[in-house]
Amino acid sequence: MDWSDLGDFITELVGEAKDHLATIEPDLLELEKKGDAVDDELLNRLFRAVHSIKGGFNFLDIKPVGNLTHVMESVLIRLRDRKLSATPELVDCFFAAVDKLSIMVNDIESIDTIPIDKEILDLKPFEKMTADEQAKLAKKGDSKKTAKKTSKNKNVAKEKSKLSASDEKPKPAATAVETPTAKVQDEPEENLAEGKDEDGEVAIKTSVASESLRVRVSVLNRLMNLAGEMVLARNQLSSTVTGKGGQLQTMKDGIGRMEQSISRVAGVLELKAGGSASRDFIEAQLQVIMDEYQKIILRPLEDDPVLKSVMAQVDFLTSEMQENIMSTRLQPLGVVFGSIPRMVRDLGRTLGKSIEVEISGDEVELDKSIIETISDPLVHLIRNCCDHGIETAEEREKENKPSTGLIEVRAVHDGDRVMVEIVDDGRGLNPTKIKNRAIEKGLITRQEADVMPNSRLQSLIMAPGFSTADVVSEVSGRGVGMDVVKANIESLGGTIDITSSMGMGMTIRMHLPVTMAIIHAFLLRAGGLLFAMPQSSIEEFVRVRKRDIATKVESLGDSSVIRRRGRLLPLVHLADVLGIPRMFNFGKTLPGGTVAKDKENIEPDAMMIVVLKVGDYRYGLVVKEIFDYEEVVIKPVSSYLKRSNCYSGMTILSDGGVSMMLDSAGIADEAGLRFENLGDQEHEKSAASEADSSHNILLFKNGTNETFAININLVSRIDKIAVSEIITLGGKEYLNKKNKTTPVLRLENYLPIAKPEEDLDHYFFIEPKYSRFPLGFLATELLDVYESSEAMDTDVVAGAGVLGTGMINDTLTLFIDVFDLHDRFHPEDDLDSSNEKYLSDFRILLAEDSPFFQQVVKKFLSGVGADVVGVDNGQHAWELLNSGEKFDLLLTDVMMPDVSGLELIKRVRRDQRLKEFPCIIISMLATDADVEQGMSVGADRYLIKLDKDELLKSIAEVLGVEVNA
Amino acid sequence: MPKIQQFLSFKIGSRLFGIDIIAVKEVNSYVKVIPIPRTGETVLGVANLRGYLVTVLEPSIIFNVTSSADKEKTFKNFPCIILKTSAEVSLSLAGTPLANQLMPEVVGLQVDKIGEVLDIERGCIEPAPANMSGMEQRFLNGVVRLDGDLMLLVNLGELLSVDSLS
Repeated sequence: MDWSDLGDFITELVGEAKDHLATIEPDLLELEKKGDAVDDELLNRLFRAVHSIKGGFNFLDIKPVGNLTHVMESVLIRLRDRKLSATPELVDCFFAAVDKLSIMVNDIESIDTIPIDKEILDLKPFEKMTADEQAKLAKKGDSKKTAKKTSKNKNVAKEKSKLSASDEKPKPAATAVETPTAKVQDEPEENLAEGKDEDGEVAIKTSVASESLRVRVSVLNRLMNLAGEMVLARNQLSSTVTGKGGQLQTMKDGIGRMEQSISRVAGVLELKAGGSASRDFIEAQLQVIMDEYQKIILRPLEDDPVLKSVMAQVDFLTSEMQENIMSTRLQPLGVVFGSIPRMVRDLGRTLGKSIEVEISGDEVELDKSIIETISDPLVHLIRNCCDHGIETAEEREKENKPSTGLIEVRAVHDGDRVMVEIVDDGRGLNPTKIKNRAIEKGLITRQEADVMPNSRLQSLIMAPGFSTADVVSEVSGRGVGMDVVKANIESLGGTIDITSSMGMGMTIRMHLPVTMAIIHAFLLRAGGLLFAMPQSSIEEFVRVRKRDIATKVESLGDSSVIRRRGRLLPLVHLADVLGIPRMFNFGKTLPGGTVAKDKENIEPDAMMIVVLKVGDYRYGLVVKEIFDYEEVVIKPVSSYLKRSNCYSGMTILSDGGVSMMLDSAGIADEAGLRFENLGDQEHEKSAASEADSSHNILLFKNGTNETFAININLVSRIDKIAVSEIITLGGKEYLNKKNKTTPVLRLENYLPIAKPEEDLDHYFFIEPKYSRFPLGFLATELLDVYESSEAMDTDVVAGAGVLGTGMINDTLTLFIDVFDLHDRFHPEDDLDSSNEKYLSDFRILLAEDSPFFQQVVKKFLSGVGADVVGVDNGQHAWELLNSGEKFDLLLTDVMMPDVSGLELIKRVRRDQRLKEFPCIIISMLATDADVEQGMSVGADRYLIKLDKDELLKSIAEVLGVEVNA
Repeated sequence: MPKIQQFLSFKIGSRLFGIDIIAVKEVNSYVKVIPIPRTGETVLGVANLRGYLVTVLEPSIIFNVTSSADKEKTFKNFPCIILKTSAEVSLSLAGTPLANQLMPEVVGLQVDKIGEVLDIERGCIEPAPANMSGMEQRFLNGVVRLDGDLMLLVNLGELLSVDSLS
């Protein structure tokens, strides 16, 4: 059929029909669940949706849609009039009709070729059938599935209570529907069904004036690309303005060369003229020329305040615009979650299992492309749960589980990422089965399997070519396995992991980025080529001086390792993985005997190692050089370059060059690193050694005699900056670097200390973690990292902005309080001062072995009025809790001498009187496994140390205190 | 179908090739190609063309013909034929079979020398002979006899699908 003359009109109609179809599906599901108890509102909504579709298509004389919707409509009227009941048979027919409708709507061009006779014929009988006849029919159909039916009925009550808990708007009580009053209220809608001529109008009235517009995805994609290009152009512009590249740099280089030739000319003249007086004269004259040149050409470019402020504006607007464009592409997860209940219902019927699904986090938004990419994996995972996870009702009853299986799908924001979780209460993973399967498939050897802990075994099911189902069924196992799911998620820069305990069910947890457009990446050089590595994959950089390489880098056969904080990191040479010449080998002859011939081949004076993260594991990537980071727009890898796993994307750099984005997991894979071989012990050791760093403090100076200290865990980033990068806007100072404008805090303005004695050209800019707004303070000199914070004395000075003082290396050192500084720098967003001391009625017991952290946490809590008693180990805390002293809450660290935090909470939970006592863990150990362990011993919350906002919020929640925002 | 078809001619070594002009976006001799390790020798590298990333292929390797340019030509300016994407070609000529042969991404072909655009009558196109020493027949749509030379008409679909089917 040719619709070209109707053009936009059709597009609009199809769009509208799709919207309606999307509401019909969940409504049908609910109709089936509630059966005759369903309320009129829902039936009316269904009716309206079907009716609107019918109206629109009839208007354009598109018969097939009109015919099908007509039958649906008349059956719906009878349902609403309670002349029929919503039996599964009827709902099945409806689902079939809805599916057909959506096929037709999606392929409007060939609508005439789509057969609809079956759907119409199936629905037709219901137009005339009486309720009795229907009941008979239902019985006939049911006799086959009695077992299932009964188990279903048993759960109706439960289902209902769940629905009202999870639904946004609770439906009116089902009994009210039967009363005549309810019918009278529905009168206007009754007209809708009968007065056909008015229909069009009513349909329009019901669609609330919308505040949104349909925009073609292609337009948004184009906008997205343009915004990305704009960010790049902005970066290029700003590097020109700040003199890092382009014309200004060329000019500066030119001046340098001119100066050189001036002094050479002067030298020659001196010889000829034979007198220093004339040389001085000539030099002075030439200097005048130079100065004038600088004044005329360079200064206006370099120091132009207008240019700078315009640049700052462009910066701001570009970022703002880019963010907004990005947000137009965000879609709620409901788009994919919406189809899950229907799918689970259908699967349940096919498999003869009773499965219920609970969904939360519909409203969480992600970029459209991410939603599209996870849609298939999600469907696959849910299918797996239904097929392999959930047992049949009989099996479940034998295991003393409720006969209806439960699948929970949740989405929550988790920092700048989104966590999606699928939890089922089915049979879980069977480690022995996995083990045998993996050995059979040649994924691991018997020996490896024997030493492999269960947590590692579970991740094996995501290895390529693995499927645990005994029989490949119709539902899942159609060639795509968990490995494809994993690859899809990882291609987005996301992670996926599985935890399961046998017989209890399985949890699949995915962490996904919200958008994927612009990221921070560090530039690395290897083998003469430039590569980019996402900042999120990088743990730290390590520089090993040439003379230390022999002692610090150990060789094990062909491979080398480096010891970092008590654990061994395998080292991988990027050049080797990429198959390009290394160019240097630190004193050893290179394979193939490459000889140094140009500056590329000059041996660097140190080995540069980028420590990369792959899940919980780390390895070191050796490169020739590490450059600064850049904001880059990631573009998909060309289909011609997918042969190598090493790349996750391509990008254009601010200088116009092209670079490949490296993939830390892919490189590890190509290099043959097998992390699964590492035992859990190694893993725990590494976590513990990380926790040890909580005692490391950074010592620095601020241009005077005073020495300052800050805990290294509170530092997010340190940059060396030029004083010219600090700009003043509206009386405040900002650091304008890397297209980011960060407020600058000078310690002398907030602490009772002297000003730096002289102005320097360069400062160190220290940005703290956990601040609500970007902020950084200046230091003139970084001294050292000192281990242990025991030296702090908190009683001597506890002034504003200072936590305490201590003698370190025989020098009086001030421990600065970044949270206090932050609050005083941004007084307007100081949450505490606007609040009354809302914890003043509470007494909190704090178990923390580090005096530094004890002090910090006490300060946080006394700020809101709490009475805090601090102890330095779990044993002491336990004694106090038992002494009968009254406390309202226990805050405890995990790693403590004698009795650990976990042990402490275990004891508390075992005690009859303290069973319900509120306990919160605050720790530096932050992996999922740590959190799980903490929660499993009975903690109410598990928090990461030093995030003040989170701590106060959680305490208020646990104690049930209302905080006025 | 028009009787006259236009072809852009180019040379690799001593061989003369022609591609349908409709498939060509532009010819650019100033693209800087960055080599990408671990991607096979049929891919020369990636270049930035005014903010678009172009994957540049090495047709001489795919065709198995000797290029007169030396192997280090990445760093010199050899002409690069930038092809339209499948979406672009559909825009300029609706329903063209080229839409199925071109790629959804921007692809470039580095060649030794660019020649003229030639008007070829459909009737002059002959099937490619089987004895094309070393070069596979499937890469050609046909040949055209010119004065003293033979122009080989490139089958873009075959050329572009090499190595892109991972």
